Amino acid sequence: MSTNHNAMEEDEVVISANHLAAPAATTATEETSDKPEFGPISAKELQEKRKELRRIRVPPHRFSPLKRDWLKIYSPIVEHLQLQIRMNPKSRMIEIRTCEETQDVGSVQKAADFVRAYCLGFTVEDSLALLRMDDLFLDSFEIKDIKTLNGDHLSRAIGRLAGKDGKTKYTIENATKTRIVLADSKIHILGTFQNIKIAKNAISNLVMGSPPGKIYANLRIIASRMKGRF
Amino acid sequence: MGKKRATAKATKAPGALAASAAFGQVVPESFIEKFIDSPGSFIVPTAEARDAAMEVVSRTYDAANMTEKYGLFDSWNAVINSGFDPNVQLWELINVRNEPVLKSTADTMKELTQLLESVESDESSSESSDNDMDVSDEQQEAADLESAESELESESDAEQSDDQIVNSGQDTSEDESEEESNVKPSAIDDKFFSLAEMEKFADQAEEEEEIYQAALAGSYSRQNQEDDEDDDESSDDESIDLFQDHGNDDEDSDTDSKHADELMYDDFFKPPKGSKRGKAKKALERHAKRVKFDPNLVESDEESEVEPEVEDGPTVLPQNRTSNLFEDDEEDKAVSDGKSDFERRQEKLQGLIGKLEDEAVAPKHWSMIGEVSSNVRPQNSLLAEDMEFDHMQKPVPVITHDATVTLEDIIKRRILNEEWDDVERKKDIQAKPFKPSEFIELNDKQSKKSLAEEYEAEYMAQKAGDAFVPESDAKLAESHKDVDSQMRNLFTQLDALSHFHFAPKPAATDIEIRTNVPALQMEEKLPVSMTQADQLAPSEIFEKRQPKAGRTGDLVGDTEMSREDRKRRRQRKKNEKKKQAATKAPTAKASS
Repeated sequence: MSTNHNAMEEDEVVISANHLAAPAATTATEETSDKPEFGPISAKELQEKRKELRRIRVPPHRFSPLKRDWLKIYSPIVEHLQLQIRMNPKSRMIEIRTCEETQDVGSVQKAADFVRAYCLGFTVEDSLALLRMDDLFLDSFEIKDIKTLNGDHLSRAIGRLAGKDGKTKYTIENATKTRIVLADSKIHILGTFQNIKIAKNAISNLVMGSPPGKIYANLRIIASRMKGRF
Repeated sequence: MGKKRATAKATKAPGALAASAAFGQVVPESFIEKFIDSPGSFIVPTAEARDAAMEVVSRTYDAANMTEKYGLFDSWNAVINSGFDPNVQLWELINVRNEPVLKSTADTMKELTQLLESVESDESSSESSDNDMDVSDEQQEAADLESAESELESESDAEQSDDQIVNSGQDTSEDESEEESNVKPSAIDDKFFSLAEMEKFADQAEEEEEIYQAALAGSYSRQNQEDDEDDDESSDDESIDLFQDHGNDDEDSDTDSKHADELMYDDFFKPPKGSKRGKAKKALERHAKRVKFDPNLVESDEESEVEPEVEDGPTVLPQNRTSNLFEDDEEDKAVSDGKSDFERRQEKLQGLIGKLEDEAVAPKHWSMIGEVSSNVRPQNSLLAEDMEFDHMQKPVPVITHDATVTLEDIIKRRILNEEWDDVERKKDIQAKPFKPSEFIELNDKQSKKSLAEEYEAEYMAQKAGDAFVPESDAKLAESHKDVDSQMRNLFTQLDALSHFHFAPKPAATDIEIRTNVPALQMEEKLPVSMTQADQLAPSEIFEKRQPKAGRTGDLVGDTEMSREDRKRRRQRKKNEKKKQAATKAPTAKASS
């Protein structure tokens, strides 16, 4: 038999069911005990089994605004997303939880992002956009990521970013349809991916030292391009 | 004075020559001897001289009157007795009488001299010796003059002398034609015109005049004549002898046989000098004449022209005819060798062949070689060559008179038609409408819309597509509308003011909400426009309730209703109230 085998193997590769069946049978019997078996899961089960909880910490400077806007925050979450939300004042955390009424699995994430955006410093209305649109993102970076600046330079950079009465910041916001939050040396941008990129570019240039006039010119060009005119 | 004049006029004959018998009749020899040969006798006037002169005058007068040729006047006696003033009138009459006579005698004298010359030349051996001709001509003329005094009554003599020299006349013409060739053609010469001939003619005319004057003056002498005519080469070529018999004339056919309308130029005139026809005719003539062998030609001088008889074709001309450009030169060269035609042709061909061979063998001209650089060709040789090459630039316009004229015409036309070439501003055909939304303006204020609202607006705009009108555009359109309406209003008012005839305002569709409010309606006398009266329809004022079956929906007053009706009404009211209360209650509950 072994010789037969060898001969067969040398001449040609022949796969026959017999050969296969035998070893398969043997392995099956051996390994059934080790690996778990998963059957298909039903949609209900999927829903039921997913009980998510998210905790978002509220920074101290956002406490009082949160108290003011609490209604506006929880209303869309509860009404539209069918989630459960609560504020834990002791730990200063906002907790969001799914319940039976929750229909969409991804709504928890959305709600969490919404709250997080608010906690970062964006207004409720701006943050609401996150809930309504899927393709809005939040980008955060620091000035020291762009350029290492110390002391006065840093302050000046921040001043350049903001502009007089926030002129420059608002210009960038209006031109690129984003929202920017300047928190000392941290910069948060809310908007679509492309707009974030443009805003980030503008901010980087400002940090690097280009005059605002140049930024305005570039923004104008970009705005016209975005409008669809050439 | 008068006497002297008379004598001068009377004596036609030049000097004291040998007088003919006829002459002697008129003018006695004694008179001549006494008065003409010795002019001293006239210094002191004598009666004898006067009488003799008068007699001569009378005789000549009567002699002239004899023939009709000179015109017929009254006889001398009649003239004397007519009572003419002897100082002036008489002599004028005699002058008139003598004029034609003098003229005719001068002419005949000339002719006779010529004829005499020809006669003498014929007598001499050589025809073509011009010098002899000249001499003979002179002699002939002299002889003629000698015999010319008797012209008054001897016209037949002229005719006789003419007959004698018929043949010579032809020779003279021949010689004359040969002599023509000696004359050099000038710049203005033509087929018909020859300057030399004209000069000759003029000279001859002058001489005639001279002779005439000399005849009048009485100073004619043979010697003078000879001296004068030494210069004169030949006789007049063109003079046609009127009395000559034209029977031997080869040139022209007999003109008498032709009809009047058949006569051509050639019948009367010789063909002009230089014409081929003339040459041909001459050749023919000469050929005809030279049929008989003329020994004169063989003995002729080398200077003179030699014409071999073998040659056929146009006549060969003497060497001194160098200025004629149109004659074949080769014929001149070929004359001297005496070879045959074939030989000459062969020689020519051989010469040509030799030339061509040399050309073929010799090195080529530099322009035929091919590509040639400047070393190969001689200096400045390109200037002589006609070269063709493309010019890369536009050729400079040559300003000619025509060019300027055309240019000026163009300018004038353009000015008149006002076709200017001014640059006109381009108008944008597809003018873009002004939209404020398309202006990119960076807003540096905090945006009033939140991010969500902004994206919402964007989404709505995208959804609407073309229907979407941005805010700013809408505002602009509204303001435009407002302005439009105001202006229209204004213009209609102005038009109404400026028109003669009234035209009412056009009715514009206007949506108005009319409430069913009773208002005081003012009646207007002039139904010019619709008043703001209530225009609601009666049914709109009062709407009937839906009547039940068997009842009308009219309003019923209190007094009109019966007891049952009143009750029924009350019940209805109560039921309605109950219903209302019931609906309100559960909602209240639900709300709490």
